[in-house]
Amino acid sequence: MKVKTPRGLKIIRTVTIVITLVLLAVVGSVIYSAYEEYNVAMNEFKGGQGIASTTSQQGLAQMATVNVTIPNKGLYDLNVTVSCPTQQQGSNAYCQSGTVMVAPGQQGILTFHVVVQDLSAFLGGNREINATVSVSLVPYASLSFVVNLGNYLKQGGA
Amino acid sequence: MAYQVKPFSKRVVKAIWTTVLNVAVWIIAPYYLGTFLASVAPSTPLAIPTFVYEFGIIITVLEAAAVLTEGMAVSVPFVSATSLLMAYYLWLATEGGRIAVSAGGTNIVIGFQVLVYILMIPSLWGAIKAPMVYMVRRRAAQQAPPSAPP
Repeated sequence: MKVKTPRGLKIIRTVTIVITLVLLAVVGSVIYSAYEEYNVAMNEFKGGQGIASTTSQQGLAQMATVNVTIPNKGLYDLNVTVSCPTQQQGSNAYCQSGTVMVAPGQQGILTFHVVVQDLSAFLGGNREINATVSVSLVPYASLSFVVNLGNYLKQGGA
Repeated sequence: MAYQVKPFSKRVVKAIWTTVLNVAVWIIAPYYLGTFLASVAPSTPLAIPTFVYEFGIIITVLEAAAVLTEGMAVSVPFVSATSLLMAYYLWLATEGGRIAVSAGGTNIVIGFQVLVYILMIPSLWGAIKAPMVYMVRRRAAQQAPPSAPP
């Protein structure tokens, strides 16, 4: 005689299946989004594409305004931030932080500034302008690393 | 779903297979993963062999004990303890979802705390589910009509 499965067991199994499906959907979608953003980073910024900059005089200092066009081909909001440390007294060059939040399927522009007080001293000496770049798939994952913006500045502007 | 304890011989065979599988999943695979991670993320616990062995052995022993006592009340703490330990292992192995990696002379920090919380949910649910399943099956067996004599 076939024994009927208890109702409690059916509920427990249903909850288990739902948890498993939700987990697979979340992890799968995060991996897909990360893969798409990785492809964007590797392909869409080749040769400086998507990066535009202008320079202006700010008193005796030179300020470069950098605009980076960031497409979001993933499934979650993409937050990109350039964080600059507090300007140290006497430092010749520093950057000003910028951040952008890009919705899925949209494009956003990240804007940040690099200021050089004495350009000739900067080009002939210490060209270190460290900034922390953070890329986040909100709210699931993030990646951050330190980059020397001075390496990307050329004489005559960025 | 009758409440039955399988014959001892079947449970022993299943426990042996479970032990082999768990050794592969919780000791051998993490060991090789840790060997690779030691070069890019040396601070991660998986790069420490004793961490892998300790957790791997304890999880394997608990899983084997759970299978050997399958169907009995004493299996519930083994199953729940295994599930809780798996969740804790995941938390420690991923350093709470924040790993520092060295690549190409650059230090990269990968943050995935929310993902780790989500990945821990099945194990935590397993710890809660074990006593619930046991109680439901026991109640169903007690309420089931006695089988008719041949």
